[in-house]
Amino acid sequence: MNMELNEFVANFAEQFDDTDPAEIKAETTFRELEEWSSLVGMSVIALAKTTYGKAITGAELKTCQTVEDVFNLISNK
Amino acid sequence: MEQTVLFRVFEERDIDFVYRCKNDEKLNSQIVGQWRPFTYADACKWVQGCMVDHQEYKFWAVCTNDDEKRIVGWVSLSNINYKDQSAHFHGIVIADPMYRDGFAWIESYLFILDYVFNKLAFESLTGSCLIEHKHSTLISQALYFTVYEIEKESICRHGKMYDLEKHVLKKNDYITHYNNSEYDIMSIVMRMSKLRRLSNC
Repeated sequence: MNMELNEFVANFAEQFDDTDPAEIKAETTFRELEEWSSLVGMSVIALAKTTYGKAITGAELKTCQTVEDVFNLISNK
Repeated sequence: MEQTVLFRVFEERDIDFVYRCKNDEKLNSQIVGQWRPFTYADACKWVQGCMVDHQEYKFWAVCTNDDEKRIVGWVSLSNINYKDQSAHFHGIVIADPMYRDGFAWIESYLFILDYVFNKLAFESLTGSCLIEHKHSTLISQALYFTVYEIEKESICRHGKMYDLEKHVLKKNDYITHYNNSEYDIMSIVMRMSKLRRLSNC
């Protein structure tokens, strides 16, 4: 896993309050995480904007299944 | 930004979805009232009740923005009072996991605000939630509702008493914030994220 993806996974994991970061990997299907919710989703959207300078839409996020998918979405914008 | 969801009247085809949601323990852990199991007959009655035009309350099915318009949740208003020019944000459920990423949720709230302040041209919109329900307390702050009362130990759920937060948004405040583009989706997302971080401190 390259450094950028590694860092993104860590940043993604930080958006969760009650989930062990060790549970969140690049291949994690994030919607299946117990804590995943609209509130966490919004924090991820805010992360994309503030840390990576990219605005992602609901339609775009819906195409993502894994954390790596979200990373690729942001990277390719 | 294209709408993620649309809002329509309930239809008979929504009954199965409602039945599943009303019996989903996790979904119902966040409602203000006491949860009880829902039979299929209850779900039929509930949906048929939503389909009828009511003076004092309104339910909308939140649906996909495509030709199918498949239900993903619902949103509702209650205590619609034409004399007092006020209404109460009754509830929101976004149950489809593919739509639980924030957009459908915010769009549903904005739909209600627009309906109350522009379509009905009312003066105020109230809301309430359990203080423990972080989602609701944060979104109400992010949308500039102000808390006007905390009703101590007013809601009983599973034998335990909970405090109820009551908040209100006045039309003038809505218009001011709207004109400042503070109800743009990204603006709300950024505020929610900041409020969430602050609430965790």
